[in-house]
Amino acid sequence: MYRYLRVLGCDAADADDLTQDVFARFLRSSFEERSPAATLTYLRRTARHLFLDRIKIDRPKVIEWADAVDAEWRTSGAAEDSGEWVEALRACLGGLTQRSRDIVIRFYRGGQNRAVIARELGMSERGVRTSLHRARAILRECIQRRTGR
Amino acid sequence: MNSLRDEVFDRQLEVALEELLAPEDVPIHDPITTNDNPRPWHGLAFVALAATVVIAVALLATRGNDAETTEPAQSAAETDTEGEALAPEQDPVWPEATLPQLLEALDKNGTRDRAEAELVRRGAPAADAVARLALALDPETPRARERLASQLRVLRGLRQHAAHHAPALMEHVADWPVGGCADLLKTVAVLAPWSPHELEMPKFEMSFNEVKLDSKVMARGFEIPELNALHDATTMFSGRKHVRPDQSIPRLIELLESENGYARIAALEMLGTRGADAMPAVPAIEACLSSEDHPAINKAEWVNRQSVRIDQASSTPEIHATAAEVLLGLAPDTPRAVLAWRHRLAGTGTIKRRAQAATRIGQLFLSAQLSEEHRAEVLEALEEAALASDTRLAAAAITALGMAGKGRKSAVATLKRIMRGENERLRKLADAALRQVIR
Repeated sequence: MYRYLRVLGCDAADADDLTQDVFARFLRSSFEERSPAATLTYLRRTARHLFLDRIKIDRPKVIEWADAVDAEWRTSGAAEDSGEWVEALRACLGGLTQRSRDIVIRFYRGGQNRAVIARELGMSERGVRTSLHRARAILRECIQRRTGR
Repeated sequence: MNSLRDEVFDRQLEVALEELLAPEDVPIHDPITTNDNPRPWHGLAFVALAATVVIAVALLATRGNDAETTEPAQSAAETDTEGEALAPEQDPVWPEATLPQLLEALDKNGTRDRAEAELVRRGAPAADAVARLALALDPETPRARERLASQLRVLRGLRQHAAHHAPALMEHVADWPVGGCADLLKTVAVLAPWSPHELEMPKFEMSFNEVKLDSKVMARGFEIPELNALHDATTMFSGRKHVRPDQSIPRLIELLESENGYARIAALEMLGTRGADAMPAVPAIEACLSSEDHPAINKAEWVNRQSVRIDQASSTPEIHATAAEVLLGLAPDTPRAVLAWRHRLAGTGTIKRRAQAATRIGQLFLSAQLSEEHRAEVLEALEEAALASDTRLAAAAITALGMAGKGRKSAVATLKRIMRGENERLRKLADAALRQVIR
């Protein structure tokens, strides 16, 4: 749920809040559990509704984005919900070169921007940008292969 | 549409990488201002930013005192810290700091804690830089002991990244008076399992009046706690050195049943650094977390000029804490991980970490099949967190209590107490949770 909300566009704090709100609604509802998949779909729909409810500007474009996220979730959702997607990513990180992995980790782990990474690794900013782009492409291909998408 | 799908995939990747790689002790920062990641919706950067602002304003309007709250970062991921907490207004964006800036900050009271935490996050490059500082530090310089302690906390937090410095640190032991010597030995003991070299403890002869290292008298004028710490460091070293970097997963699993508590802890830590390879150890780690039957650890207590008393301290709390964090690294979604999440909820981590733990407990509790005793432990932790002064933590715990606390009288009392409180958001959540608990 949290990851779905983050992909929709919430920052970490908003995703935390909305996750709680989703479960609070769930608790108040008279939902009858039929299957885990049905429950997850119900929770995701509630999350999407609460998320969109807060968007006041240019809703059509944000809805278009949310539709794209939902379409992606319908194909990879099971892998996302079970954590398989993240586990695949964990394994795929090992396939990157040390340099690429270092850049990816600095970028995502510490929130270092490209200028800082470039300075610390003695690279150009464009070089960092290119390395990140390549690393993402490799990870994408690897994850798709591992999750069978 | 294809390009939008690509953008969604990129966003999934971004979020998962943050989740996988972000150390959760780090204070939350806003990626919009500190990182040039693209926003999620393709071609909608301005719209996204505007929408985010609207959301933020709406949340601020409804959240009352639910502003972003984080506790001071844990210093170097350890609990034996002595540094001062950084005042919020002095909180810079530390990921932006260069290594030399962090090393400089390490030397200042006001910035030390944050610098330690950030250096631990930096991994190997930080290990080399901090080890160089520690090895070059002259014991005669002002505040040398305090500076060494801080540097060694970082090296202990860095674990395997700093392990190749263990032999040099061990050689450095003789240069320091008893207090620094004990701290160095403790660090060597922590790093020993990952050290590529077999390490031998120097021979100590300890008495109330003097300490000899390899028959040579060390500087006098030490305090009793330093003598105790030196004794404990040698005990820790002798336990942890049973764990080696080349040991197989089955061997490490065996060591989880060692007669030495320190060996169990070191084996858990080693499993935690083996990634997916350590998955076969998950049941044994869960057993460690559930068991109360862990060996005692010897703790020295010099009682008079002639004798030292060896107390038997329980290793169970430390083993539980270590097992919990290792399990959450390996298999956070298994039902048995509820006990590990409880440890994190009841721990001293950031509000964010603790609130996430409460939420995960709510999701996993019903399928966890816990014993009555463990059920009670988990629910007590939720009830305590539900009464926390921080709204985010309390809200997460109340929600989880609604999902997990069915039929529990003390949960009813806790929720009713919250419903009498002043926070409207918490009152509403407690009302919803109470309906579930008494249903």
